[in-house]
Amino acid sequence: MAKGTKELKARITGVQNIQKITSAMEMVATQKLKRLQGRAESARPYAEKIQEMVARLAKSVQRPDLSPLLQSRKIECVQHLVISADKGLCGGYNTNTVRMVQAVLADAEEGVEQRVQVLGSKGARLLAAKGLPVDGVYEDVVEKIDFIRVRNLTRELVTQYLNGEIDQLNVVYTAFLSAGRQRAATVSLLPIDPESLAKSAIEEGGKSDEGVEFIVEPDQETLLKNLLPKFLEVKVYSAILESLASEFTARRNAMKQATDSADDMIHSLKREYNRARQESITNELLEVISGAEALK
Amino acid sequence: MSDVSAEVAQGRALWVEMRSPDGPIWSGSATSVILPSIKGTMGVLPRHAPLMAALEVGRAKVEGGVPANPKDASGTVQWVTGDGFVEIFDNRVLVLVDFADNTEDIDVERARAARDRAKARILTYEQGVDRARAELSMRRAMVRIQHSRP
Repeated sequence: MAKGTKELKARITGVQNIQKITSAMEMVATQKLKRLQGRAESARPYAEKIQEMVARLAKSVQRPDLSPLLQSRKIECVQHLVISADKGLCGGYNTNTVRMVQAVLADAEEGVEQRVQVLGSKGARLLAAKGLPVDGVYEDVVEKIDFIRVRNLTRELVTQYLNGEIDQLNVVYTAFLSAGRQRAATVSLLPIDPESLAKSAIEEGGKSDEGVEFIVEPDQETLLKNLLPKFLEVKVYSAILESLASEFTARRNAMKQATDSADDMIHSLKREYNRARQESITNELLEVISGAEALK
Repeated sequence: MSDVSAEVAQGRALWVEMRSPDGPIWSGSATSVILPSIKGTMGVLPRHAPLMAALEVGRAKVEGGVPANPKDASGTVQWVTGDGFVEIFDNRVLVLVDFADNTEDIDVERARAARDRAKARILTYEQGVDRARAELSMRRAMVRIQHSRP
């Protein structure tokens, strides 16, 4: 055989092996995405009701002075909670998150301390590679997240806010707009804007319990104090679930693309291989024929 | 199903819904509900006044329960619940808790073992993620042991 066919054969096998891996990874991502969507669905009834309760209570109380979580103050230190992935190979997911963080930090006011905490080791590594400060990393928690763990994390942040260590809390996550569209986004969680609560209360309006006087136990202040952190926990939890759904969508798409381009590559390699093979056969034939001719 | 909603509307039964962030726990009608409010154990009967209350870690109980999903437990059902809230309105009791474990599903021996394991880990770990995780599982195990006894 002519030179080159052996090498081509080896390359084809190599690409085929990679394709096997990427298509397996695509299937895994699809499965995980399905499971996550189920989890997001089961969390929704709880989250909606908490939001409704907070909105109703905030509306009936109308006193932001009840909880420091509702008051904005002079901002000296901003805490950013960045939700990224623990692993790579998910297209632009981590890069987009990192770009969002860069944009947020670039917009930051002068003289305001910026703290960055990252969920997911891959995002943390990318941020560090860009020379951005990372104050804390939570590794290996994103995918195995459960509500109790999110609760503890959020409680820690709320405590920091109440102690005056931080004056604002932002979450950088990837919003899951639809199966085809995800976008990195920033939301401000602390201080809670009482107006946005009132707004959601109006949207909730028209319900049959409108105007009903609720007995509140132990009292409105304590209940609100208990409800507001819970509200934040639910917000952070749903941001993480949404980011995870985005992550696995991105990973699935990336792996699908890889599988498809491996297909293309195998196709063109095979064509090249066949041509080389044909060429060598033709050459051999020519040699045999010309040899026979010479003997005549 | 329509019988139940009529009974609830007439104030002869309660409609109970228990939810956690990990999913719905139980829903159905009941004759009474007992909940661990932070001011003390609270009993709820039909025709209760509209109420919102904070709950603490403890034991919740439904009596005369008829679950909406026939696969769920019926009759007297008890859970160990995490902290949360309850809203009572129009004979509907909505319970929102961090977690809820049916007391019958709790294996006290296993919970004890989990507690001891967590304790040992706390003693070996420095402050950090692993330590926090161990403390958390110890707390949960202890709550289970404490509240699983009838």
